[in-house]
Amino acid sequence: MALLLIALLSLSLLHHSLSCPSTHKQSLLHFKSIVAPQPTTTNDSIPFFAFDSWITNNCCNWEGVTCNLALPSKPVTHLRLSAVVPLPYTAPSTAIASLFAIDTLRFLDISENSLEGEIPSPSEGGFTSLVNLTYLDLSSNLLNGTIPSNVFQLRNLKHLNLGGNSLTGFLSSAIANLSKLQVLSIEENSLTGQIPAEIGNLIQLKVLSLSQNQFSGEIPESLLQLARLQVLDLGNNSLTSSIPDQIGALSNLSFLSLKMNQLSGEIPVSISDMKQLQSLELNRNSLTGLIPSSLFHLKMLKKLNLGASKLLLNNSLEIHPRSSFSFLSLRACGLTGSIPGWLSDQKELDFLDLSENKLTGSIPLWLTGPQIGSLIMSDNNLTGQIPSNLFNSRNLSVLDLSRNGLSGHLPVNIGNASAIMILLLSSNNLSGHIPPSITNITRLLALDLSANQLSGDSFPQFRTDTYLAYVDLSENSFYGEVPVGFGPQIRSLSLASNKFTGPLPAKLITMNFIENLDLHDNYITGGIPHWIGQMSAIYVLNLRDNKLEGAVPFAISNLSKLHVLDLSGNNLTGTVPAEMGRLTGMVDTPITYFSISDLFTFSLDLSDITTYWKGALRDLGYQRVSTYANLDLSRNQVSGRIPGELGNLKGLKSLNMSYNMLEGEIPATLGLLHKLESLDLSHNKIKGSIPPSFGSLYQLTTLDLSYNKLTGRIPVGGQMSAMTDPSSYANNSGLCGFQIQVRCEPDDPSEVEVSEGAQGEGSIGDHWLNLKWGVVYGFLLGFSVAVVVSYFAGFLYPNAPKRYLRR
Amino acid sequence: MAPTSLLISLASCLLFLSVSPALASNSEGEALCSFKSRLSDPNNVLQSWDQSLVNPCTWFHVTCDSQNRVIRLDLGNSNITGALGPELGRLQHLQYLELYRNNFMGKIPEELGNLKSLVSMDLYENQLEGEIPKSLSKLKSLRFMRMNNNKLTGSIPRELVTLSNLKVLDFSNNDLCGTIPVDGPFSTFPPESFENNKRLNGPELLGLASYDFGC
Repeated sequence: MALLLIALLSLSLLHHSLSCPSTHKQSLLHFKSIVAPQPTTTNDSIPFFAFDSWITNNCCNWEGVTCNLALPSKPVTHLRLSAVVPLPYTAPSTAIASLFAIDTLRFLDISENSLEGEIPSPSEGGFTSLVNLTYLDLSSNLLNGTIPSNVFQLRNLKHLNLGGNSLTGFLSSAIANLSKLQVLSIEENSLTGQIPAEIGNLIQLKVLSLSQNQFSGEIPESLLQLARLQVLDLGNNSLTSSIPDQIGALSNLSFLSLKMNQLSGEIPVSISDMKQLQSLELNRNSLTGLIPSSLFHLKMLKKLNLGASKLLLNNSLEIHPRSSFSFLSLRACGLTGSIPGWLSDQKELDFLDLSENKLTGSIPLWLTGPQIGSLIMSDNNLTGQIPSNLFNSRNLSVLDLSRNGLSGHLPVNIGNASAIMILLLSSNNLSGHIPPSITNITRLLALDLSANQLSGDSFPQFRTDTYLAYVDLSENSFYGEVPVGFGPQIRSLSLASNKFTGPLPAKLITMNFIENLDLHDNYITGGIPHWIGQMSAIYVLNLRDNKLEGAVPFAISNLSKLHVLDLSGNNLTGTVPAEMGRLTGMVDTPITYFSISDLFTFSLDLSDITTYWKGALRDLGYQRVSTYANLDLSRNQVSGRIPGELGNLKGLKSLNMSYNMLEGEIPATLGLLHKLESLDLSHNKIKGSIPPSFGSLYQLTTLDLSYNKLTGRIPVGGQMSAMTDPSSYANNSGLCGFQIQVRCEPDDPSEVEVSEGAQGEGSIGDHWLNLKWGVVYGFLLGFSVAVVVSYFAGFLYPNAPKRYLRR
Repeated sequence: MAPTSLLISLASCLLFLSVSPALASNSEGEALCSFKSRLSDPNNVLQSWDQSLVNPCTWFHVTCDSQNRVIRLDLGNSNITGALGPELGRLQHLQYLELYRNNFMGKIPEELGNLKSLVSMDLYENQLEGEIPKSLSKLKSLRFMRMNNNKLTGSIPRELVTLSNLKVLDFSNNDLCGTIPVDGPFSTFPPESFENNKRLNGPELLGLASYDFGC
């Protein structure tokens, strides 16, 4: 008996000291095997550090696994397995299915694991097995497909996060089954359709985020039933109609974002009832009406973004804000007059955007507070000087005063604002020199002083540890040698439209990362040096309209990323190097563009490529530079033949070699440029005929071959049949073809266009002519016969024997 | 390099918050975007059509004059499917409408008659149906009209004989009926311009009653 007791005791002891249930351990190991597979080769060591502890017998000790130790069976209840799959690896979403067997799970977080594929939903079991689940986080994976209905049967769920995936389809009204839900986030997916009104039944909801999807239709009124809601984010969708009138009923709301939709109508008065509101984002909508002053009485309101909402603010309105804003945007809110005086009491303002209004007057001194971090007042009519006080702020990191009427010099103490990263003062009336203290701004990233009247020939030398990446000094009156002291991190340098002289400085080579070098419209002399071929990161090289001379160096062909090369309007001589056919950047131009550098991912038109495009000087968007391949050597004195190797540049979109002294024939290989939209070879001495291969230039839209010595038939087929503007061919030696209504010699063996009009044989007109005469002759013949017959029948002669008429 | 990228992403964040381009309103760009919205474009030929730009003059397949007005639309051979919308008629300076060799379907919108500067209309080799709109007789500058190889029905509108500049016409390979006009420029077109229209009859006989039988 005692033995039995001991046996039972030891058994129960054993039972107690057992690890987690073996089924749970198996499930976890199965999960691990899918998500962190064993390397197939010995030198393929995958760093799945999170699973280092998953080797012992007791899974309750494994990292990320929590068991309920109070129960003898010690079941697994919590799985915190976020970011266990390191980038750049991905894992199949079937891994989720391996966890369905752990039916005691209460908490499951497998976010940020690059799980790819649909959310598993087997016909039996699946999520419905996890009856105890209260927390489910599948966010920031690569999940696609629709949300399986199984998920909506987890009636104990309090927290559901599916955000940051690629889920599609509608949000089912079955969401209302999750009656205990407090947090619902499905943001950043591709859901469509309307927001189901049934969400209004989830009265426990505190956080609701559906932002960054493609929801359409109205904001359901039923949402106003969610009295406990603290966070409501429906931003960045396609919602229409108006904001529900009684939105103020959500009196517990602290965060409300409806930004970036197509909402219309006025701002509801009831918003002023939302006393807990800390953040209100209505930016980028199509609202109407005025911004009520009551909005500024919300004491808790810290962030207010009404930028481009189409709401208007009456600037003469007496506003005494009770809110103390840290973020305020009234961009494009129709403000007129001077900068609102009530801003002087805002002592906590970190971000202020008053751009795109009609503000006048000067920048008040009280706006230059020490705490301001971002001050954006571009696109107004501000005048006067830039207050030097502004640069005494250690917090100022973004200053944008572009496109105003500011005048005077740049303050000498500009370098005191050592935290500035973005300094944009373009398109004003600023004069004087660039203050040398500017080099003290160690964090300066982007500097735009373009389109002013700044002058001088000495430039600040930035330190070699500077981060400066973007500099635009174009359209000023700077002179002297081309400045190069901008540090080694420069990505884009524009010195265009100034009065710079002298040769291209060799120090340009130290700019190892430069992608855009724009020196157009200056007086730069000397030759294009061979070392230019070492600027291997260059996408755009614009030397248009300078005084450069000598030949185009073949070293230019080493610029493997070059997409736009503009050497036009110089005194270049020599021939077109055949090596240009090796410009790899122009061999393949993708249709879809990619941002070429982090700096240009924000939607600000930092720099345009000013070059000839289809017959006029235009600004090509820099964002799209990878889709362009433009070669412009026009207006020089280049001679010799056009190298056939140019036909290798399969991605070429625009080729302009007009106004040179090119001779010889057009190589037939140019017909291989299937992406070419614009071709200008006018004003040269090119002879021979236009190659028939031009019929393969399927994307040609602009053609200028005028003022040459071309002869022969203009090719037909493809776009050549739609190149019928006579100015494309004017002033040549003997071109012919239907395009210019000039008949080619009859013994010309080239193909004949189907409907060549006057040239054709046997037109409808000819046939009609034959038919007409046929009818006339026929009629005459018939008439004659009738006359003869009538004569003999006696009808014609009135003196027929009266015996017929008198009886 | 790491500090640079950190700063860059910080800056990007700040600027993204602040500046985003207002949608530029250029009515020709809007018309082209409405046109695009009806279409299926598997080759992504229209990918460069970005409405945030101030005008459509740097869009691929669009050509403008020196005053930034659209003069050419060249989308031949682009594997595009869809209907032609009426908004095309808003391109008042359009000279060349090249939509040949695609899968355009539905009717030719009568609004195309508003393109008063049009020199060339190439709609050939598509799936267009319905009648040739009478309004095309308003295209006084038209020199080239090629609509062969479609499924056009009805008769050739008599009004087209007023297009005195018309040099090249091709209606072959359709399903047109009635009779071929003979006035004005129609006297110069060869029979190949009308062939393979089973119900189209030979040229009408002037001086005798014109007839439109078979329609």
